[in-house]
Amino acid sequence: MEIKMENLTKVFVAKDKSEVRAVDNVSLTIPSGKLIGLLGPSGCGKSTTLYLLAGLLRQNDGKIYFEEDEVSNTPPEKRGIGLVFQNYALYPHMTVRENILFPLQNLKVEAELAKQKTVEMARLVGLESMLDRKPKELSGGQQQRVAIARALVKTPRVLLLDEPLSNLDARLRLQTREEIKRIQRETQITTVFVTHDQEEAMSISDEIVVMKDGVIQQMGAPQDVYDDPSNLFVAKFLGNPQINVFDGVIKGKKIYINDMVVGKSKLPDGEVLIGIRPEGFIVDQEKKSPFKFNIDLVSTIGRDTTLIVDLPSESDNILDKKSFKAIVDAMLRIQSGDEIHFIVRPEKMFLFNMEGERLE
Amino acid sequence: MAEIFVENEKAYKRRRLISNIVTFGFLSLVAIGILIPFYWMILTSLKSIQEIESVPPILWLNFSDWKITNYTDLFLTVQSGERAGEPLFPFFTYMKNTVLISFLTTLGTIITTILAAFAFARLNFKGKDTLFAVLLATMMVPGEIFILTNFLTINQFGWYDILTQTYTEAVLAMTIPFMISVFYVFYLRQTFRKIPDELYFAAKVDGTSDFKYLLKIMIPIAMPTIVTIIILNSMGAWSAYIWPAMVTTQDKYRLVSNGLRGAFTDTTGRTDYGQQMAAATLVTVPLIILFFTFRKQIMRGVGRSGIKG
Amino acid sequence: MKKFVLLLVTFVIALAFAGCVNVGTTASTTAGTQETTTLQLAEELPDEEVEITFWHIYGTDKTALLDQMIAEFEAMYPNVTITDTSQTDYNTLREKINMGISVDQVPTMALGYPDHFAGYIEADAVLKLDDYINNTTEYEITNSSSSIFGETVTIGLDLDDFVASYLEENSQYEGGYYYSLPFSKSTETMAVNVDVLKAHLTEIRAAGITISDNGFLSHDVPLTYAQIEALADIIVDTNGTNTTTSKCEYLLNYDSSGNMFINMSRQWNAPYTNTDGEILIDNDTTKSMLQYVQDLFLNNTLALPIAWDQSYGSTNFKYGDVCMSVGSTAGVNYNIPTDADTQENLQFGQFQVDFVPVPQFVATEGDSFTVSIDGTDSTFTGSLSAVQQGPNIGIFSSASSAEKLYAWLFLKYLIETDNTAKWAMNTGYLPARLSSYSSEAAIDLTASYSTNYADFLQIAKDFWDADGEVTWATTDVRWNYLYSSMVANIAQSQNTYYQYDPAFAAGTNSAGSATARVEAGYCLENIYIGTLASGSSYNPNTALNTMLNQLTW
Repeated sequence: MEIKMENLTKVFVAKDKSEVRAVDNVSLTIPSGKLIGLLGPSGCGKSTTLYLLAGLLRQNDGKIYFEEDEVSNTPPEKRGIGLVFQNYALYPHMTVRENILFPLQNLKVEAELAKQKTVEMARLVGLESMLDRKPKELSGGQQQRVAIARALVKTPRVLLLDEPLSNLDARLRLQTREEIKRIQRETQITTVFVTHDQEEAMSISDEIVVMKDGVIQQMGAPQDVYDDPSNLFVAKFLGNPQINVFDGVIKGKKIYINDMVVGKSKLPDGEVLIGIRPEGFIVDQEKKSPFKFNIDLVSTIGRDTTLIVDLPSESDNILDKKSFKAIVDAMLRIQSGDEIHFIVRPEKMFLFNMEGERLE
Repeated sequence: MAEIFVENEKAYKRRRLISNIVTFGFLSLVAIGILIPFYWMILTSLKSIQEIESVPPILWLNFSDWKITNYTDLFLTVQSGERAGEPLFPFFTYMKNTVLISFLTTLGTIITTILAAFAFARLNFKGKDTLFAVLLATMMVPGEIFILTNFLTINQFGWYDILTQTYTEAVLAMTIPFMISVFYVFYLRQTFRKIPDELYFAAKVDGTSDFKYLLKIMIPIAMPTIVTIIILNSMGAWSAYIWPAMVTTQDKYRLVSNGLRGAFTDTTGRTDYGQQMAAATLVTVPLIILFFTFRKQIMRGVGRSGIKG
Repeated sequence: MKKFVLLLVTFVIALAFAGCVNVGTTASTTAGTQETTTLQLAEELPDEEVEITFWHIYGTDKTALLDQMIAEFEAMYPNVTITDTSQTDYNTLREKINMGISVDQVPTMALGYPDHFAGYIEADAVLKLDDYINNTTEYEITNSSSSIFGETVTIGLDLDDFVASYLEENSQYEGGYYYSLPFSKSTETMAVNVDVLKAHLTEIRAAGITISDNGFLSHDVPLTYAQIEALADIIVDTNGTNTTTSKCEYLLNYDSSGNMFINMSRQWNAPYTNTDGEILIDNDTTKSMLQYVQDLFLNNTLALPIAWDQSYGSTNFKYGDVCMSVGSTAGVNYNIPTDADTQENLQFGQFQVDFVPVPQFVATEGDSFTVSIDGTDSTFTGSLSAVQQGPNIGIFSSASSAEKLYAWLFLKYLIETDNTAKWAMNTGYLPARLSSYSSEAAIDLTASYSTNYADFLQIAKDFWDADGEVTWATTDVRWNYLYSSMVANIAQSQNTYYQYDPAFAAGTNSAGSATARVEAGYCLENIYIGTLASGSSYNPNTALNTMLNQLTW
């Protein structure tokens, strides 16, 4: 089912009467049957957007459509959504079975059918054998699967997940991530997944939406957004290690960093910010490239080696020191102190103006 | 190495023994301290007047010296006057009143407390914080002050008329003013506030109304607190003395507490302590039975609350 | 939902504060003025149904005689119903009436102490009884179903028949009007261990004290404190009671330290309080008196029950720790050692007990007396005094005129000569009326023993006349009433110098008279404890100042 948001705005008024525009004029269409990752740093408005979709918050302005239905003023229980929270929000006094059954009872589903659906749902999330346990007798991952089962049991039109993996440890997080993906594929429910973890979002989502300060920055398939960020914020937010940002200049169709040529550009002369992904550096074994540095630190994990280079700085203050990271093949056996010439891959280099807007 | 380990083991065992002796010794002392008043009550209930007045006090009575008549006399009937033919100490009347009053007061208290605590913990309405502050401020006012205002209110409602007061009116007068407790509202609100917002949202999405959420989710989760409130409130209602005496016009409307205090004062102003204690014993026995029946629940409730009655 | 909760919260607040709204009505009822118009009674006795409520504190099963008198009264006036209810205790009784006054919910009549009535009078809620007392109206009973059909009932009451000081107590209020009449009155008498006195006959006679061959002191002439001091020299062994030498550890116990302070103040003519509520204890006479009492404490002449951690000294009197004990007439029998006591506790066995008047400082009102305080002789003018205690009955002014009239008739009936005598015999209280002493009305004290008050008094007189050597059979029922009879005789001999304690409710400058009495008791107890701890170096003025601080503000 397709979800459409039109000019959605939510303003919070603090005690001191100051206003925060948590969601600012957001228009967005989420295609049917897809898993969308809503991504951004904390306070960017992604959870607020989710709560607006759920109906738990009421927008100040704008409209929400589920397919053709406008649900802007529909109370949450009538919107036909399933919601999963970061802290699972299971009813602690009920068993797993009762937790899953609870929404069906509220919908007055016939008892036999409800029982059957509960067991079915427990099987889907792999918790059939735990039906009579209380939530506190389950692990975090199991609890989150119960929460998902509870959200799905009433066959919602939309499944909303609010940071569902944040409370899990790393291994469980990976496992549950896969589980969510599998369940979403099987059920084909339009799903919105809120997270601040770009890796999580990129790995699970069909499409990601990056938000900042209540405004959508970019939307697209994860790799497309990564490869073609529309601004410095998106470029910085996606990718681990983070993209390296250099102060550079364009002079005569050439791009310079610290007076070293790193590439070509058709842009007019002027100062620019240059973003280069860590994997965008190629070691020039012929040592012809003018873009060269002495390596300060080397760390090798498996097949990758991360090179850390301190950029020369005018200040002695350690905090002002800038460095960049390059990921290269471990086979090169680079050691700290070596002088390395880099060639920059043009497709991994993005130019931004001083305001962070993408140039070209 | 092994020897040192054995040494430590021995020292550890000795320390544990000593700490056990100290702990259990202390607990035994406390237990005895708690039991003494009960023992004294039963002992006094079996003494004659001279034995009660005896100095030094008599600490043990042989069975042959027991003055059982203190008990049997309670069930004698009054010879003359209005109550002729009724038992001397109307045990069952007082007991019935006390149970009824405790039940109604507690029921009322729990309903108002849950609703008010829910409103203050969960709902948003204008002036909520101010209202709550005002309520809390009333806790600073000593309960005695309310006796006068409550008395006037009860009278205004027509429940205290010394000529015409009916049993229903007496029951209303005894219960209505105590069907709310700011402290319990505060206490339960704190428990309610500890329930995460997400649970409310989840329940909303799962299709519950506010009221159903309160009933199905909040109350079960806050049950230990609610049980504690029920226990504390019933105990309070059970032992209430001044107010029931103030607003009842007839002896047969009163509670066990009033009966125990008043029924044994003779016309010279002295109290028949033997009979009084016999009656007190009879009143205490149901409570003790009740306690042992619901021991687990009561201890859990009181334990969680961290407060005693 | 929100609205409902809001409504509920509002209701809750309303409950908490509702009373405040109505407080204003209190003022309007208290603002009345005292009228001195003479009472206009109806020509005929009202024949409408009248219900009279009478509040007291007697337990439900302890009121047989009261119930009987109510039944008799209802038979006399068939249109009247009297509902008597116990309000469990005096504090509750007083509080209910005080609060009830503001909402017009008071009984027709109630039992109470003078300070209770002082409070009710301030709220203008009690009926002035003078209009009835002095009324000359007579009614002929025309109701044929009445038990007194055809007889004539008078409204007025002959006050000359009452013990003078009871009348003073009940008319001590503003304007000197009667707002209550005496009902259950008691006083203090002194119990004496006759066996111990008998063992020291010669020494006692040498000290100039009249004593019979069998150890009975005079029952008409009170001992003076000078004689008490002389007796202490003879009888007290400060090391402890000694049965071989027949000596007690202490001479005289005083049960109520509050009474002792108040009564002794009167005996010394030392100002204490007055009906205006002024606290007058800060004077030289009181200070000298307390010094003197401290001296008596020091040499074991005088003891308070706290010496044995008790509230009454009667038990230790029985056990022989102390040879004389001043206590309330209501507690007579607690002083008598019997078979029911643990016998090994009774150091002098089941000794003979006698009752005499409380000690005085002078033989005649206005005489002077000399006491030695810290080795210096000082002379004071003395008075005779014994305390009087016990509740009175008053009628409330909010009742209808018919209710008031019948309440008055009922009150009058309760305290008529014969009923007073019966009440006195039944309860151990003292008759408020002089004529009751010669009342012919008999009361069944037991199923088989019936007597009238004169005969009741005669029991002790016979016993004393025979110097204790009566030839009654051990089963003679007179043994059961001997001590009550003794006390009644002593009370009668004291009743010319009863003194009442001025009553006043707590006011703007000081606490009420009930608090004053309690604090006076603490004052003496503090002196007693202080003297036990630090001997003569303890300054009794410390305790007096504490008392003064507690009572005035």
